[in-house]
Amino acid sequence: MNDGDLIRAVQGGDSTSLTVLYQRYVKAVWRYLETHLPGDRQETEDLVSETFLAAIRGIQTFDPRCGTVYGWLLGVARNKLRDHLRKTHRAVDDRAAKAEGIIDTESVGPDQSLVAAEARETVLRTLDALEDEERLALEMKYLESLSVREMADRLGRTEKAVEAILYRARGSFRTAYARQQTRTE
Amino acid sequence: MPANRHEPNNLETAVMLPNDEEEHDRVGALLRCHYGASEPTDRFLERLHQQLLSELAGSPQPRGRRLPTTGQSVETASPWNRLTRWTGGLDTKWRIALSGIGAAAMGLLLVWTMSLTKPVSAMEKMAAEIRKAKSYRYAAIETKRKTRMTGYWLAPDSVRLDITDPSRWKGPGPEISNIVPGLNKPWININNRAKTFCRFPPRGRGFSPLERLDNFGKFSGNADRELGTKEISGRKARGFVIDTERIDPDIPPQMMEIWIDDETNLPVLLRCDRRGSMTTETIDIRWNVDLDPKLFDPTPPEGYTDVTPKPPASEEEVRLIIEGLRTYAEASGGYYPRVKRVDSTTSGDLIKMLGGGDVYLKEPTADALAAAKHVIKAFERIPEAKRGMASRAFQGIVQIGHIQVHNPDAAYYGATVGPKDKGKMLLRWKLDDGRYEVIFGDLRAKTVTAKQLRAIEGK
Repeated sequence: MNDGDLIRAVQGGDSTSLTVLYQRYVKAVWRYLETHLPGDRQETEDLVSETFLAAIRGIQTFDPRCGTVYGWLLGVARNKLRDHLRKTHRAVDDRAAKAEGIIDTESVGPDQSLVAAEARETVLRTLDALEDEERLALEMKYLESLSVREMADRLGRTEKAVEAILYRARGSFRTAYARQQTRTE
Repeated sequence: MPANRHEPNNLETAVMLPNDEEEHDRVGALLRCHYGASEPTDRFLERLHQQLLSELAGSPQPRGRRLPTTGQSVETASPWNRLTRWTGGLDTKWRIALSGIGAAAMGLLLVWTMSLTKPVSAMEKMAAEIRKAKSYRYAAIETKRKTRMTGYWLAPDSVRLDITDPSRWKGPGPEISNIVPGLNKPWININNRAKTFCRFPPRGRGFSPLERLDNFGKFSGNADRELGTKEISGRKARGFVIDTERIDPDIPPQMMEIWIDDETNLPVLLRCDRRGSMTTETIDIRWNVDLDPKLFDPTPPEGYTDVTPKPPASEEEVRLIIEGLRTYAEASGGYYPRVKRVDSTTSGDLIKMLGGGDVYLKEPTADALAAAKHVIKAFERIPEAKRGMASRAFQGIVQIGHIQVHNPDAAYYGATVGPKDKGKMLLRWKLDDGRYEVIFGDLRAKTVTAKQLRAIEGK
């Protein structure tokens, strides 16, 4: 069943469909939040829980004809993250810096895990700049190792359409990544 | 692959390669390397799943919405709706009569259900008493390293935990004290051995030095095993064994022995066995005792050194940022980083402009050590006399990037504002107290209110 069918079933109270949707997207939501809250598993768990609970509570308002389930979940996650960062950005700054080893009072030079940490941030910003559908396509392809057929089944699209999305997503990624890396002068 | 494709910065050139196959690999490699490295635990996933199912079961479903799997509406399918549809065919007199019979039947059912309720278990009685407790103190010893702990808790949220490792500290007093004067109040860690103290921000939720006791307060059901009765500190107590996974799936699994005072129903002794790695025996738990409020006073002893880490948004942070921007402008010939977002390119450029090497690796890697060595090498190419200044400037530039990532109200205008733009805002971010820190083109820094910020932005 594709996402739209599953959502309608969940709206009708079907728990099996909820389980399928949950299994499909919980790791994607986790990745999104975890990458924005590096080094803090507890906060990530809290925000992932809040995201899904808010989603299930507001599920009757979601119309699958107006957007993808992933986009909707990511929207809820973004709001939760924004609220969280507003409340705690200072503490998050601290923890993020420590987790990435950037602020190291004992080192005399720039901390050396910086390259990896900042490259990660660049990838993160690049993904944030993509359309939700493009982002999901890349995640499904490269992180979940789904075949085009499996992606098509999930998204309720044809294989050709998925291939087109993937092609577009790679192009968008390349452009956005270059933009992140290049001067604007 | 031709070497020149990876110069000067391999990460960006790597994803701009025209060859589609290579590009696939690069995008995938970058994502796998830098995105979503950690995974949620199965335990967390299962717990959230169960929460969602409960939420779904408890949430009101819209009337008449169709279940696509069966094509049948909830309203039509539910037994209640079948009944109401059936009763809809009766006249008022019959409906009243039926509702009376229904109410009587419900009452009988309730009485019958109550008569079947199982007797309250010893664990549940204990949980109820723990929830009523106003204070406690306990002394515990960790049997492997002989670390001694004394905990104090005073309702609602005052906590003190004294810890001593006898191999390091002989006294007087405890080696370390953690004092939480209450919820939403800063707490303090006092180290008597090092003669230091460290303050921490308020905790967002309650805290108990013996959290297991809090968890017992939520416990229902029976223990896994009963141990009989024995006398502890002159009081008759009954012993039970519980697998902690039944109390809280998130705490490390261990079998816990608990002895409960027969009279008060409160625990007087706990013994935990963490599968051989550490055994903690908790002794002498005293409940509802009078505790001196001075125990929870977070004032550090006189003469102790404050080792509280300074928050990054302090004057020091502003100073670092200004130093970074000034150094960058001097090295670049008169402009700040002309970007919308300050990132690794910006800080890497600064190192290069100061005479260092290229900080970027030839290939993306998750090997932090390799990355570290590479940056050290690039940094060490800066003339030695300049390295101290370069290090601080580098930290300042990196800090701008972090502010942009983590502070939703941050803005940087280096693309259009230069050192000669005296009154123009170069960088701003929001502080915890709701005000804003602003750095101008001439590198003056000012803390302003939201209203003042709007006035500056309006210029």
